[in-house]
Amino acid sequence: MKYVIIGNGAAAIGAIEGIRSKDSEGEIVLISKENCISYSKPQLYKILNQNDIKTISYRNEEFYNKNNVSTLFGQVLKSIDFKNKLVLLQDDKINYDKLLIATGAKANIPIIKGFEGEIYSFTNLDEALKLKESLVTKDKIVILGGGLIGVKLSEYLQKIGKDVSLIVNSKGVLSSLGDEKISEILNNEIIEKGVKLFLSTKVIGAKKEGKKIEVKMDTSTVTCDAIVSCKGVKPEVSPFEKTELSINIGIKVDDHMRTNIKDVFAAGDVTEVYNKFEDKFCNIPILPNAFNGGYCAGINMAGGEYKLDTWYPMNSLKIFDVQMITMGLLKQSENDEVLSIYEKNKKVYRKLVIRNGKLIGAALLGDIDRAGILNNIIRSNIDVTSIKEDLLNSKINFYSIPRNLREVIVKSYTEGLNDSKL
Amino acid sequence: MKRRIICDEDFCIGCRLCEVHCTVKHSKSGDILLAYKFENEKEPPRMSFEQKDYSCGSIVCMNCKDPLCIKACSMGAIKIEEGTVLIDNEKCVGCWMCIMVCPFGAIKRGEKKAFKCDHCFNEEIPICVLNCPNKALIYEED
Repeated sequence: MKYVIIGNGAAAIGAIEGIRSKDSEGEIVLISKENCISYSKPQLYKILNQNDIKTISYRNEEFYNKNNVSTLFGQVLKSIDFKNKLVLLQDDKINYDKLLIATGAKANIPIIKGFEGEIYSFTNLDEALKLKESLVTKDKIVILGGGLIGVKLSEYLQKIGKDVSLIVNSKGVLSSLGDEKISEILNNEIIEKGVKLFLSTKVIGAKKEGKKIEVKMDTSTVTCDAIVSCKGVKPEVSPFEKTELSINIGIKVDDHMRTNIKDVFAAGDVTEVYNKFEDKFCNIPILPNAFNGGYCAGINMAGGEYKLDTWYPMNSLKIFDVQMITMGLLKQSENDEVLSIYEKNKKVYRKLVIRNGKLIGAALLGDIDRAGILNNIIRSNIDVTSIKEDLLNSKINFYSIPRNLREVIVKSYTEGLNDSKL
Repeated sequence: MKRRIICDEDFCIGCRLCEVHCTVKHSKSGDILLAYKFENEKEPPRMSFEQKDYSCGSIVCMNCKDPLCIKACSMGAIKIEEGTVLIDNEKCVGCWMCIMVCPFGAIKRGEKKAFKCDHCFNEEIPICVLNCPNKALIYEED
């Protein structure tokens, strides 16, 4: 059996571990555009004030040897001949029995009217290093986009002493989470820490004059030395656009990470998986989801049986002093029940979204301890009608769950989650 | 081989001796007085006693068969070594993804790093099990 993996991020690493848990013999070939070992995307910010790439490595070099993976780094994928099972590189062809597409996502770079200079981005190591190099001579930075990358980058640049302006279209940062309170808390936090935050603001043009850039917004104008676009990412599907692969925004996969083509799997930021809470296919470009998707694909590629259990987004992050964990769906519909507590002074906020007696979303800001108990309740589809008040309490612990369920949970995790009847 | 500590809650009397012994075992000095008087803030117990109404017991790492913490870790800092799920303290950056997924709430937040029960992997039998006065804590290998 010959497995070919395209990509070297969390999904690709997950796939290697998934394959090797079932098949220690088969040949694994990993093809990557980037010329380095796997690194952690959520920690990419650290490269701005550290020089060693190893400080953000996701797996070390030994990992590839230990798992007997042949690596082809720095290779540009041209296309795939699905009919003849061939991966076409710039000057090579590689055959496969099972293929995993884990090409990730790339930065959305907007076109700014009147601006011909460089717009930086921050979605991979090359882009990060390029920005880092330019920062030596640049002090005033404009960041476009109030999503995850934009907000974290604002924080980091602020911390290394830059003058940061963050321009956001919507009325709050991280608006895609769908919870106005979270956006409000984070807006305040960001402003308090000294970032100039422009909300409900559109950039209408920019002009370069000498070394300075004048950014025109619909409300006012700001002068800066560099513009960084953090306006989200889009799945890297360009090599497959003219093929029979089923693509919407990302590659559509089922709950086994199979694409519409036999023996071709996809995982990570390049995919769309069916999100039951939203009742639609969603692209979820977050590391834990990517790794799990890859792991699931790997097991199924190696002939195992594994159903994806992380089809809803989950993330843990810290914005300045606000620690937060979000899981599942936070934007409630009309018939959903919402429980929440908010203590403004302590920056503590907890929210639960319950639909038909089941927990479908949770947000914890401030006190995040034992968040996994809630995550497990979401994943396991447990009825929470009798315990919902306890779940909202920050003193939640494993004994907050009724005994009969506790016993099932212990059994299912100690004996293997995916075989469980939960 | 997997090391496993099970708490039979019918026998747990809520004495919290497991926490005391865990704290001492993982302290620098190994001395109960020094550990509690001077080192406790830096070396809290790796496991915790939890309670809700009349149910109580020790929450230790369950050494899951397919550990979610390993898959969620943003740095690849969690590994299984000698049957025990262990966090590499050097690699951990405190992103708390592990806390986000642990179904038992067994992973704790340190100042900048996550920490958890290590099943006293360098001992034949975990210290909490050895010292549980009512034998509520049971040690298993499978």
